[in-house]
Formats: sequence, structure tokens, C-alpha cells
Amino acid sequence: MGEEATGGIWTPGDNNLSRRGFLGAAAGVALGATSLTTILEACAQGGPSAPAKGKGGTLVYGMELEGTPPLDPHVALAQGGAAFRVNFPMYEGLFGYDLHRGDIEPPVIPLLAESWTRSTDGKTWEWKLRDGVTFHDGTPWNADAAIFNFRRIYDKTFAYYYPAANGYAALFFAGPVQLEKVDNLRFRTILQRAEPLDEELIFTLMVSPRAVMEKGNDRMSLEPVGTGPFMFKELVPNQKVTVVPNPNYWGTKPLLDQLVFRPIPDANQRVTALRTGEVNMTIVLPPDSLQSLRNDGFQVLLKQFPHSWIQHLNCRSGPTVDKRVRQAINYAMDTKSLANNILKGSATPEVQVATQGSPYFDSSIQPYDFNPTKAKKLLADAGYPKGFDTEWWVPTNGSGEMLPVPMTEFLQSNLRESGINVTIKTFEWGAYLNEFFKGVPANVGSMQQSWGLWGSTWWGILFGKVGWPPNGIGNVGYYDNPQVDALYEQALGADLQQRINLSKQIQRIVVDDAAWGFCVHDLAPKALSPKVHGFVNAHSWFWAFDNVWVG
Amino acid sequence: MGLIVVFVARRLLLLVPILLGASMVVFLLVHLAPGDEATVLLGPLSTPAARDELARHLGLDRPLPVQYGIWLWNTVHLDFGTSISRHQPVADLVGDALKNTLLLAAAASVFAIVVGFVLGTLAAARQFTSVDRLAMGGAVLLTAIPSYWFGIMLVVLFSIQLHLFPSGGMQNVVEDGGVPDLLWHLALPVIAAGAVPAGIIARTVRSSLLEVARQDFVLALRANGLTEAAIMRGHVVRNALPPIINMIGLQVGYLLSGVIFVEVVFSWPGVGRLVFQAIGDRDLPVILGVVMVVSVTFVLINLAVDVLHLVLDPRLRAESA
Repeated sequence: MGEEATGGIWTPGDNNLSRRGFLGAAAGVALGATSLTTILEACAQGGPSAPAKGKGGTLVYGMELEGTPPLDPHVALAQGGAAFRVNFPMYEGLFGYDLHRGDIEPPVIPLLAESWTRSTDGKTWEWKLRDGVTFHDGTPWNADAAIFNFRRIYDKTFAYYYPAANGYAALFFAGPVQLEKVDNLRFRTILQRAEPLDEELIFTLMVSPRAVMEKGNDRMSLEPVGTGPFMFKELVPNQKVTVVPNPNYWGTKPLLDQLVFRPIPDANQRVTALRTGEVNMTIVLPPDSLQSLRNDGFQVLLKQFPHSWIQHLNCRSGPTVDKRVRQAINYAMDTKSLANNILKGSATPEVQVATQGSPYFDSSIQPYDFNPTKAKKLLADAGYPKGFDTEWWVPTNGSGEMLPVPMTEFLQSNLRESGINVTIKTFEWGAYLNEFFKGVPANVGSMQQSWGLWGSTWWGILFGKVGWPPNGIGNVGYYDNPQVDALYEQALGADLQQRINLSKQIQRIVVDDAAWGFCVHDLAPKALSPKVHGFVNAHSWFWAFDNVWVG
Repeated sequence: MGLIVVFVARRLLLLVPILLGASMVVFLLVHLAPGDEATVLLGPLSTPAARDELARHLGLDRPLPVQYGIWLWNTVHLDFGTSISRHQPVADLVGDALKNTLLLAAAASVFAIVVGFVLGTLAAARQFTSVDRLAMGGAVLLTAIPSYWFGIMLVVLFSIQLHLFPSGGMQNVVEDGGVPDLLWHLALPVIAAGAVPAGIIARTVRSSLLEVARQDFVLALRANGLTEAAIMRGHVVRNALPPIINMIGLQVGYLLSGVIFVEVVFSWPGVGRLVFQAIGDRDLPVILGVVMVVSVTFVLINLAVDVLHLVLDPRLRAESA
């Protein structure tokens, strides 16, 4: 075993106390000195929206899903953040995000593991588990339970192997993994190659083995049993999922009486439901609604989180093979106007892959500001003084896609100013993915996609040769830079801090190379009733409900 | 009575080829559309290996006829499978959604029939008066309003402005409000969904009543000294019913598919929303389940209308015999 990783400097217990005291004081000052807006801004920064701490109430969260999602975290993950958010309060992994942080991208904190060590070759990880934790059905959490969960996902010879779970979990950690029980509260995961398991297992949440054995794999989607701060109360298919505080939770117990997830697929209807009081929190709002909600006293929260809406420029054929043409495209796109006018401030221009507050954010990186003159010069230098014609492919809808067609049409008009004539071809999401996985065709200049980037492993998938179709998934534009491949290979076997440093080097290269058309980061607008207090708008796809109360 | 049983049996037998045909067409259409279930489900982050593993799990790696055969065999044994994206039994999902859609469609039908009869009878009874013009003007307006837009307007007025009715959903999600709560949630969707059929029924009722009222036997009844009310109740209405029932049958059928727009506006958890998402997800078991169930319901409603005809109109019984 090599260096000891405590899994972050924050432990949930003491961290809560001190921070709440601090923010409470900060909000108190704001109340005395300035207007309501300041408090709302303080809230958006991560503070509570009222100085006094209350308790109880029902939070009805109007979510953007068509129906109620599977409540089995091993399969819900693939359905995107929206589905996983319903699972998050009920389950925990070996470690997780400290979602009580609103100021920076939430650091990783130990949850069901107290600590872990990584062998110097990066292949063997030993996990020391938290003692005295039980699942909601009373099943004890221990090494057997942990191993059961891994075998359910990865071990095809296991009686409770769940092929659906395998497909989904492989998004983050593909396996295979050899498992070794050390004692009741210790087990080892042994890999075939060095991999940053302390990032890849972030969404491997633990389900109760007894529940799986008694009810079968499929029933877990309907009757979830985890260890989280909330536990399952009721599911009315397509109408609601209700969870209540877990009275035996090992950490800080939630303040709410209950939390109801209600699917409202239409964005305008979510806003209406918030206005009529049928829900008191909702997300994914129409950009046009933000200002009027603010005017009417609702809390409208915006925050950068790991999200990139970008263009995969064709680096293998056509004019965009030339780095100068790709840079010209980045100078030719008015992403500020895209964010402020088309998206009404619900997004921010993308200068680099990482967002502000992320450990990967690099303040030394200069933006490609909107500059058609510079774009034209670069095009002329590359041998296209009169510009060129090209075709860009874009889905009409899809996970995290915002308003893909109007956004691309806006970029199309920008690019025309610099002499680049883009024809847009649109696809329904399912059909689009089918094309996306084949990689960008020779005659196509760009394929649009939006990505959520967690940690260091994605840098290679998005910019390395390992991401090339048909076997890779993220580098559909065939961006090719041996330096990036070497840095990524080195990062996989390194510790967390080194991984971050190496990834930041990759980022400097790919921004300079204009590997993508960098467009915008979504700010994930959320709107809350003024009666909702204590909500921390985390710099994340997820957020915690345990600090929230309604009154 | 025996005649009706034979009639019903014949029609039910016809269901078999209808269901087989519909399921085959849907099965082929879903497979012809680009993008398969595993790809859509796993999204842009998925690895080819993960997609293959999921496809194997779902049986998508088998030839199409085999996949269809397996589905058919299971369906005949009343096993409709499990939703690919929801991981819930299709029977539960579709059954639940169908129950909600039928509830909305039934309530909207009652609304449409009551409003249609009231407006139509009023207009017929006071032909060429301002009552007639007002009632028929109203009916034309109801027919012309798109239910989607009407629904939104109802929400703006009655939910946002007046706070009288909820803006969507089927029940209070915080506490169980029972039947009154359900009716409260039903009010606006029912008006939105029932408006068009109400207008159409009103016009049919008026014209049918007036047509019968012009016939010679009504004149004879009047000559015999019966009161207008007695003629209307006992003779005109009964004779005017067949075309009205025909139209009601059509409108109820229309409501079954037409409420989808209203389901969207009011987040009503019905079949429309379910199948819309299932198509996006390429969730074939759910799509097939919905198509089967809606086909059966549609055929049964038409059957009920035809049987009602036979019961009400002795002339038809004679023809059928």
C-alpha cells in the first residue's frame, strides 16, 4: 500500500457546524445592510436564505422528467442527472460530494468508506468502511454488502448479477474488478490497470443486499433501500416519489418532514406550478421566465457546474483539420451574445472546458473573444480568404442540450459574418446518438454535444485517441495530439493532485488547439419559493436536501 | 338477444387480426427508426461494450422475427414484459396510465354530452331565436378552439389569476385528498378536452332533433293533441338518437386519442405522455403495450356504440337478422 488518502479535508460533522455559523453571520449582515437581492445573491453563493435556522415542512420539487425514474441507482444513472437526483437522497457510495459547499466545486468526502489507500502501482485499493451504518431495512453495511454491490454490477457469474446495471455502471468504471474481503469492515478492489477509482466510483451507490435477494433485481427500481439521509416512503408511478428522513441516519439528519419529487415535463408548466404553489422548487426553466420570476419574489439561482455545450469540430477532414480554421471558428462565434440574448443569462460563455470553482479551472487561459476580423485573418492565413461552406449536425433535443437548434442557428449567423456558410442538419436525439457514435463523417464540419465532466478520467475520453470512434465515445471529431495521449496515460496512474495538474496541462493544449468550438456552460437555473430556506446551490449536477426546510 | 351475442362474438374475433397487424406494424416501425434502445438509454457516455451487454440483456441481438415471436408468445400468456427505461412492468405502467386516460376521457365525455345536449336541445326548441343563435355560436366556438390553447388559457385564468384550480397533475402530491381532490384536479382538463366534442354534439343534437321534428308523424302526434313536451320527450328525442349516438361514439373515440394534448398541458399522467416518452426512448415493450391496449379499447367502444344502436333501434335488429 502506498500513500494514504483521507478523501478530502472535510468531514461532514464538524464542517457543517462551523460553516453554518459563518454563513448565518454573513446573511445576518446582509439583512441589516442591504436589499433582498443581496440575500438572494448570498443564497446563490451557497448561503442560507434566512438567518434563523428552522425545521420541517414539505419540499415539492417539480422535476423535468416525463415520469418517475427507476429508483435503483445502478440503472438510474444512465438516464442522466435528472433521474439520478431522485436516487441521490436515498443512497450513498463509498465516498461522495460535499454538496453543502456552494462556493467551489464540491470536494469529495468519505461516506460509507471512512478512508482508503491506493497501492503505488495504482491497481489495488483498500477501503476501510464506516462502522455502525445500516441500510433502511436494517441490513448492516459491511464488507460483504460492499462486495455484493460490486458483484451485482460486474460479476457475470454471480447469482444476483444484473446485466442492466452492468451496462449503466460501465459509464464510469467499466471493470473488471477482483474483490477481496480483508475483515468485516475492510475490502480490496484489485484492477488490471491503474485507474483513479477514487473518482470513478463516485456514482457507485450501495443498495441493500437483503432487499435485492428478497425482491429480485428488477423490484429495486420500485422499492429502493439504501443508507442515505432520506428513505423511501411512496411511489405513485408517473405522479410522485415521496421520501422522508431516515431516523437512523449516521450523519446529520435532514430538517424536512418530507420531500416529494413530482415530474412535470413541460417547462412552462413547471413555472406555473411554482407560481400557484403546487411545487416550491423547480429547475430547467425557460430562459424567458427568469426575470419575471425574480420580479415576483421567487428565488432564482444560477451557478456554474460541470457542463459544456460545444461543437466537436472535424479534425480529420475538411478545412477544420487546420488549427487556424478551428481557432477562426472560435473567434467567429459570439458566445457572449448567445449566453445573454438567446439564453437570457441562463448560460455563460465557455472559455475553457472546466468551470469556475472547479479544481481544473485555469485562470491563465485566455478566452477566444468574438472577433470576426481576427477570424477572417486566420481563415486567409489558412488558405480560405473567402471562407468555405460546411454542414453541421445537431440534435433537436436531448439530455443537457438546452435549446440546440436555436443556439446553432445563432452561431450559424455569427459564422456567416466571417465567411463560413454553415448548413444545419437536425436529428431526433435517438437517431442523433446513432450517428454520433459513428464519429463525424468526412463531409461534416461539426457535431454538437453537451458534456458533463467529472474528474480527470474524462480528459482522455474527450480529447485522447482512446475517445475515437468506433471504440471510444467522446472524441467524435478525431482530435489528435500525442502529447495529450501521453499526459492522460500518465494521469491514470497518478494521485489526485497530480491528476489535476496533468489534466490542466491537457486543457491548456486543447484550448490553444481549438479542439472544440467552445460555446457555453449552462448555469442550470433553479427557482424556489421564498418559503424554502437553507438550500445550497452546489457547483454540481446534484445538490443536497438535508439542510433545506420550508416555512 | 341471441342475435346481439353473435354480433358481439363476431366483432371480438375481428380483434385478433387487428391486434396482430397493429403490433407488427409498430414493431417494424420502431426497428426501422434509427437509434436502438441500448444506445438511447445509455446516452453519449456509453461504451460500445456496455451497449452490447445491455442489448444482449434486452434480447436485441436476436433476429427480428425471433424477437417478435418471443414478444407475441409472452403477450398471449399475458406477460407484457418490463419497460426498458423505467424498469417497471409494462402491465402496471400501461394499466395505470390507461386508467388515468380513461378517467379523463370518460369525465370529458360526460361533460361533452351534457353540454352538447343542453345547447343542442335549447337551440332546437327555440329555433331561429337569439337563444338558438347564441347556443350555436357557442357550439361553433367550442369546436373551433384548439384544446391545447384552450387548456393554457384555462390555466392562466383559473390557476394563475384566480387561484381556483390547480394547474396540473392528478392529485395533491403532499397529502391524499381523496375524490374531492381528484375532481378538483379534473375540472380544467375536462373542460379543455370536452370542449370540441361538446360543440360537435350540440350541433348534431340540434339538427337531428329538428329533422325528426319536421317529419309527418310528429305532425300526426300534434294533431292528436299531445303537448309539445310530451312529443319531444316521448317521440322526437328517441327517434333522433341514432345519429347522435353515432356521433357520441365517434367523439368518445376521438377523446381517447385527443386527450393527449390536454395531458401535455396539464401533466396528466396518462397514456399519451407515456407513449410519447416511450417512443423517444425506443421503449418497445411499452409502445406495444399501449398500442395493444388502446386498440382493444377503441374496438370495444365502437362495439358498445353499435350494440347500443341495436338495442335502441328495432329496425337495425331486423336488418341484421
